[in-house]
Amino acid sequence: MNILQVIFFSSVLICSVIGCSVGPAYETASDSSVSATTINSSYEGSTSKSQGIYLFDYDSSALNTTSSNEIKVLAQELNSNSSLRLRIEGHCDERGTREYNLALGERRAQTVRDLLIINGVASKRITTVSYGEEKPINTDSNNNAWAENRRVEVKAF
Amino acid sequence: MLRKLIFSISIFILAFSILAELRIEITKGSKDPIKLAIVPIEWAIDSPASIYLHEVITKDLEFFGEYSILRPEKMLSLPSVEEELFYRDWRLLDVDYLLLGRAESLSTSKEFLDDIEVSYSIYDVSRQKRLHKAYIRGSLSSLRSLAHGISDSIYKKISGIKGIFSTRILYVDGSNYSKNLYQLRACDFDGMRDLVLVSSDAPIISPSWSSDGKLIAYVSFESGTSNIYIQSIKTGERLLIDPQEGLNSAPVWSSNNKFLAAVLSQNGNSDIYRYNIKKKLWKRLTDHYAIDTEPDWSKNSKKLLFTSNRSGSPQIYELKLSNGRMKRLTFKGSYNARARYLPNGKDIVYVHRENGVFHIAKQNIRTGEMTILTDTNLDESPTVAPNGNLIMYATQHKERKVLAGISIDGITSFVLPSTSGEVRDPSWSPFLN
Repeated sequence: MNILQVIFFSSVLICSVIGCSVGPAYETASDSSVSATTINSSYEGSTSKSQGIYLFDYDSSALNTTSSNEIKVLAQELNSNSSLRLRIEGHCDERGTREYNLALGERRAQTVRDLLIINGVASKRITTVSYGEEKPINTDSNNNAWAENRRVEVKAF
Repeated sequence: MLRKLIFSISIFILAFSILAELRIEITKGSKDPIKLAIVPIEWAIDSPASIYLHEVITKDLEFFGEYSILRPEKMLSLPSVEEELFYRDWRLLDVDYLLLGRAESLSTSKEFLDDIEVSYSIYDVSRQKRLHKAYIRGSLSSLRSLAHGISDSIYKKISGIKGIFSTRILYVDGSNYSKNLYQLRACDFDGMRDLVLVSSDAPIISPSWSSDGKLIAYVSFESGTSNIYIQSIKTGERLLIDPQEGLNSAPVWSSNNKFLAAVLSQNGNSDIYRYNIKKKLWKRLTDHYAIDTEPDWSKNSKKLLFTSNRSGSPQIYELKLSNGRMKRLTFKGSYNARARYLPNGKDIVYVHRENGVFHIAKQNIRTGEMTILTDTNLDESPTVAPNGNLIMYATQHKERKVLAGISIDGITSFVLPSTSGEVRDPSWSPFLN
């Protein structure tokens, strides 16, 4: 093999490995400059502990009887420790549109919040947020995974 | 000997750069593409650049299956100027149009990063006349952009509407979800020149371009709940949009860039609001205990589309801003959401669920006539190309979450796979050139 062939084959190999960001001077990333921004999230309650997870039917924000009873019990426990603050997070499965799911997740979280408030938990202790379909527990695309993801998590801190 | 070596290496590197990066699958295409011959562009500088220019223009025009480009090997003659052009040579090859071009350096120095000018002419073979003559200037370091500019010009002259070859797609990369890494990225319409705009450890959704292409808006969960941010593409500088209690989401820009339509739930349920960016003022536009979300502005900023479940399940409504009057637009099926206007203001596209499957549908506002465009499923987030000819959307393909596209007539479809396993939430830029 002469030197030309050696260089050819190595450059092919290198190219395939790099995946070709090697378009030389013909291809700067963009004509106008672009700056990337890095975000590090932080918020109150980010290290909170889960007090309960309640599941929901597809397209629904209604609690079933078991969940309602569990939440009533939780309310009593929380009332006996009134220093704890609560973060209620609503979630959806991946089907449907993202923003509609954000609103549906909020409905679910509000349903749980309202039940806690009815059972004596002070509303000022509670923050309600929705993550829509953005934070699934199970990333598979099947009925079991979806059922796990349609949930509200109550966290205390 | 050394020069020959460098020359051969650069050709091979170029060829592989082009081939390896474009992983587009055309899944359907036009049955009767326009046949265009592009004579290799005469280059007074160096020929690898000529091959590159030729390749990019060819791939652009063939991308949606609307054009078929005659390969140079099949050409009977290679005219470099109009005087050398014999229409018969092209009629024999059944060619409809022909492009001749020539590139020249504008700089007098021998520096590699040159300013160049490409002059070109388009000829109608059957009518035997020149359709268009123009030139385009750019630099060697952004030859790809220059090529796209030529593709746009060809497309405009032959197909009659503006091309989208210089447009970009904003999207969310969620493939590193397990590592708490979410990215907002932008790439060319064909997936090339992919760049990270935002890297975050919290989810990002609903990116949207401003109407002048200089700013983006998106929703970030970095503060533990949904908040809207505006960011400059060029500087990366961000502005948090006056956050309200509850959801702050679904931002979309008005055509004059002065307003965002968005969703707030500060009054207990999500409604559509308008935000005056300069005055930092929120104005409530819908007032109903149902979920109202996913607004989209009409081009003249006089109307808004939105999703509402006020009838019991999500449907599309149109709101006239001058008098607050609302009209329900969708009546087929129990889930119609996330509508977007086509630039003509007469048609919309949206997500439609039928038999549990989510498709993208198109509908004429006045007649109500609806067509399902896609046969993929788990479709979401349709975004419309600024020339109204194409829709891109997020869907599932071979177990990966990808961006897919379809022409508005439903004939051509394509998948834009990326190196990432999960891309979603695309937003098509306005015309950028």
